[in-house]
Amino acid sequence: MRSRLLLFIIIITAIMSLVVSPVGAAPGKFVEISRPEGNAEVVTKDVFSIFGTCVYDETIITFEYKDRSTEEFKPLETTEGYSTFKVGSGKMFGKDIKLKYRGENIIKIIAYTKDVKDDKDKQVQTYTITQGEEKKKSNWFEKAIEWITNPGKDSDKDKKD
Amino acid sequence: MSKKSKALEYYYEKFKAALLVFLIVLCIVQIGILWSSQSGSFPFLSSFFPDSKATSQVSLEEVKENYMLPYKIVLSKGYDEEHYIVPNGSREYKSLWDNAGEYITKALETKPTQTQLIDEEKWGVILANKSYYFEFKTQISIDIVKWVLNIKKPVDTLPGLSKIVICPDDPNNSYYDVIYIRDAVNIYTYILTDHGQNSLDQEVFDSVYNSLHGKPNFSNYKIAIETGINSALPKDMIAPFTSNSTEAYATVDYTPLGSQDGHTSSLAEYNAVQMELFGEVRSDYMPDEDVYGSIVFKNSDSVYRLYNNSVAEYKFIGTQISTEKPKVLEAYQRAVSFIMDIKDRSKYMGAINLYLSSISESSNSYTFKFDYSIAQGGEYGELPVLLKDFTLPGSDQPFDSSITIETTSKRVIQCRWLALKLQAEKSLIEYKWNFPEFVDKAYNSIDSLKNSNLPIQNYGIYYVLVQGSKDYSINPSFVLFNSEGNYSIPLNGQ
Repeated sequence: MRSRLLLFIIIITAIMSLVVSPVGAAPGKFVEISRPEGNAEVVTKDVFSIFGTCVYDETIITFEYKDRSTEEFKPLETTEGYSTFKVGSGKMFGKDIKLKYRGENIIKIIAYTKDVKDDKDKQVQTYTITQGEEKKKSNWFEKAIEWITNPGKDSDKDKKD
Repeated sequence: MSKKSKALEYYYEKFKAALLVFLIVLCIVQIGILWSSQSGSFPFLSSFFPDSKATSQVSLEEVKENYMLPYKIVLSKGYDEEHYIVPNGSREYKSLWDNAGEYITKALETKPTQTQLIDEEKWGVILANKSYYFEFKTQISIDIVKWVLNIKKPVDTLPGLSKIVICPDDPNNSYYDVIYIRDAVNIYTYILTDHGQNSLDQEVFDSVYNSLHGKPNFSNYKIAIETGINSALPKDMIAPFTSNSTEAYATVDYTPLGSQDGHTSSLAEYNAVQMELFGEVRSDYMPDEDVYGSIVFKNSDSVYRLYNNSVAEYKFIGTQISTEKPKVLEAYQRAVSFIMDIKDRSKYMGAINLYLSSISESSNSYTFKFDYSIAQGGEYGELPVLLKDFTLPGSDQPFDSSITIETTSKRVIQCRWLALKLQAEKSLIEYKWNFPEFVDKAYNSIDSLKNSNLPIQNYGIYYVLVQGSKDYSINPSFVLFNSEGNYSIPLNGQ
C-alpha cells in the first residue's frame, strides 16, 4: 500500500515538473528575437525595427536603452509611443524604435509572462545597434569610373546594404 | 416548239439554275453555322458568322494580356528601406507591367547566366534589394507566357514562371539589366548585356514613386526577410510588420441572379436568368429545374446550370472523340475564349478583373482556376474575392476559386463560375491595420487556427464571400493561410 502511494507521488511529481517548469524556470525563455540578428547590428537609418516571436501566449515585452550620461537603462519608446506592450496568442511582434544616438546604442529587451513575479526570472537580452553614416549615392560619372577601373568588383553579390 | 414554250423552258431552266445556286449557298451557310457552333473552326466561312471562333480568336489576341496579370507589383528602395505594393489596375501598374514585358521577353530569348535551386533566404534578399518585383498567383506555363508576350525566339530552359525580379542598371552587375525569374524549383538569373531598353530605369522608378507617393493604398511595407532570417514567415512575404497601414476600400454589394429565394418556376423567370447568363433568350436550350432546385438549360450536347448558391456551370455532354494529350496553350486559349464569351454576355462581370490562380493537368485535360478581383476605382486599386465554404451538390470538391474551367485542346468540358452581380460602392472606408495585430486577433478568436499550430504560408486582404450568407454587402477582411486552410478576421473601418 505504501509503495503504491509512493509510486503515485512520484508520477504526480514528474507530471507537475513537466507542466509547471516552463513558466517557473529561472530565468525563462520567453521570446526569440529574430531582429537584431546576433548581438549587434550596424545600420544607417535612425529608425530600427525589432522583431521577435514569443514562446507563450500573453507575453509582456519591455524595451530599454542605456543613457550615455547616466550610464543607466531607461525606457525606450516605440514610434507608437510606448515602451512596454503585450503580445497575445499570435506570438509575433514587430516594433520600430528611434535610435537615441549616432554611433552605439545599447538596447535591452526584457520579456516575461504574468506568472513571473521576480525580476531575476525575466528574460533579458542586450543588443548593440550602431548607427553609422548613410552611404553616399555616387553619381553616374563616379559609377562609370568605378566600373571602368574595377568592373568585376561587386558582381553577383546581393548584400543587405 | 412554239416561241412561247421555248421562252417558258428558258425561264424554267433559269429558275432551276438559280434555285440550285441558292441551295448551294444555303448548304454552305448551313455548313458554316454547324462549324461555328462546334469547337473546331472553319477558316473561310466562320468569318461570316458573328458568333464564330475566328471572331473570338481576333479578340483573344487583343485581350490575351488581361488574363495573365501579376497579382502583385512591388517597388523597392533597398534592404531595410521602403517597399510599396503598386495598386492593381492603376495607370502605374499597367505601365510597369507593359514595360516589364520587354525585359522578360529579352531574358527569355537568352540563356540564363546562372540557374540555382531556390534558397528562400537568398530570394528574400534579392527581392528586398532590387527595384521591381512581379508576382503571379501561380506558376504560369512558359508556352502561355511566350504567347502572351509575343516571344518570337525563345530559348526554352524553364517550364514556367511565378515570380520575377527586375533590376535595371544593376550596380552589382556592372550596370547591366539583371532579371531573376523563379519557377517552382529554381531561380534563373539573366544578365542582359545588350539590352538597349530603359523603360524601367531609375528615372521611371522615380516617376512612378513620385506619382503614387502619399496616395491612399500605396503604403510603406516591409519584406519578411527584414524581420530576420530566423523568423518563421515566408521570406518574400510583404506586409506592414511594424506600424499601422492606412488603406481605403469600398463596401461591395452583391445580388444573386434570378429569384432571390432560389426557386424559379415561371417561363418569364427562366428567361430573365437566361438574359443574365447568356445576354439573350436561347430557344435552343430547354429550361428545367433539377432535384437540388438548380435552374437547368439543356440542349443536345451541353447543359448550363445555375445552382442555388449562385454558382453557374457549363458542362459538355456530347461525345468526346479525341484521346490525344492536350497542349497547355491550346487548352488555355479555349478557356480564355470561353471566359471572354461569358464576360461579353454577362453585364454583371463588368467590374471584375481576373487573375489566373492555378493550372493543373490530368490525363486528357487541363483545369485552370481564376480569382475575381473588384476594382475600387482608379488609384485605389483592386481587392480580390475569396470564397468560403462553397460546395456544389453532387461534388466532393470545394468550389474555392471564382472560375474553375476544364478544357482539352479542342473544347471546354466544364466551367463553373461565380455568377453574382458584384458592385463596389463609390464611397470608400478607411481601415488601419498591421500584420502582427491581426495575426494576434486571428489566433485569439479562431480556435481551429490556434490548435493547428502550423506556420503561416501567406496572408491577404480580401472580400470574403461566405456561402449561404444573407448579408448582401461585404467589407474587407484580413485572411491568413496555412497548409490546412484560410482564416479571416474583418478589418475595422474608421
